[in-house]
Amino acid sequence: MSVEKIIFQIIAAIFTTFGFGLMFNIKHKNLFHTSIAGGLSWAVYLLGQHLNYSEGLTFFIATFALALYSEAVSRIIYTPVTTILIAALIPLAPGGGIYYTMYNLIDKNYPMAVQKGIQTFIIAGAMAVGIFSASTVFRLYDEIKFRINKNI
Amino acid sequence: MDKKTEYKILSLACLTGKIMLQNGSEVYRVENHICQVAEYYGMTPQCFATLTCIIITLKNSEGEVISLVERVTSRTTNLDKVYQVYSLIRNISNYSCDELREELLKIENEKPYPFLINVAGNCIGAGFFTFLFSGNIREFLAAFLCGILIAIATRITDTLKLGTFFTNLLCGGISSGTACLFLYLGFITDVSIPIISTLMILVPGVAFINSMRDIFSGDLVTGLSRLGEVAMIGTSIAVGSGIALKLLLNLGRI
Repeated sequence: MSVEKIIFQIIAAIFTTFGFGLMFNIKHKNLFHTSIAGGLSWAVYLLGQHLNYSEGLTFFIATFALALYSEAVSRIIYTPVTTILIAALIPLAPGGGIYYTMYNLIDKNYPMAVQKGIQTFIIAGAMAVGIFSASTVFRLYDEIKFRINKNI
Repeated sequence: MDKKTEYKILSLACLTGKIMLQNGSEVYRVENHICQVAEYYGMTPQCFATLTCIIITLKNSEGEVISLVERVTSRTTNLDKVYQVYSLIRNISNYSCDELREELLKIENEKPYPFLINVAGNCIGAGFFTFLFSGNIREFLAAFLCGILIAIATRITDTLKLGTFFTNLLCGGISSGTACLFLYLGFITDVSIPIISTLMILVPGVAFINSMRDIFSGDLVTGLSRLGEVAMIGTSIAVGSGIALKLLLNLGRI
């Protein structure tokens, strides 16, 4: 993919996230940060594709980067993590997987439908693991910070 | 502390939880905030919340127990209210009991974005998705128009209280129906990209993330029921768009 196309896609991801932010009634600085997070997650996703990672791994690193960013920002600007995470995760959501599973089912192409269905589940699982890992990293950080403060 | 104050604190904690639960917060955060409010005013709280119900029990210094069950029937997504309640509870020491109640009521009665901005959000979301799937400008316009239709359809089904399953079934149908119409008119050459982009508006992102965060923080009951919601919405989208696609593709012989 050419550089212009990559930049264009990242900008499109930022706008997409912005649109979903409006749908979820996110306002002011939260809206700004969630848009940036959407662009970031798509950039990492494209990087994963460029490096020829498997689908599950690509979605894992994209979600992991996104969730790390969201957790960090939410601690800086004091907001619940979900206000930033939810809209920004939508570009990665496996809507295409749902569609192709359904399309192959009505086409009576059952092996392909099963394959697409399993792929969708793998993507969803990879995203869950990404969110989980990032929140564990930050829970660890909070715990260590708490213990250090207690000793002093 | 007299009985009246205790009841006041109980209803205050309940109101806090109710606003958060109705506007799409995670359940563990709801429970935490309820306990924080009650603890701040000197009670010993126990709280259990699920997606549809909040149960709070308070114990005062003499060991007397009062409790409250609150059903939560309707849920929407308004993350700004979640954010506002969160900031309010973070600065709870600046407010007295009555002031906090007033602030919470103010948040509860706040209006969401006007309908037009909501429509714009739908259009931008669906439209720009086509570029993420390497679509062209014609597909962008098709998805953009689908966004308007879906926003209107969601609005109508919400007013008629038709429920999540039917709403998503209908919206899935609309998304493939519109795409097939555009194909029939010769405006686009492939239905896949506009349909996927429009389906993305309906994908249950809030439910998915909240279910994951709830499961990993130990709220298994809520997490699994939310996961059920995700599966239900996903299925209804697929079924709705599948039915419409099958009907129209066979009808038009395209």
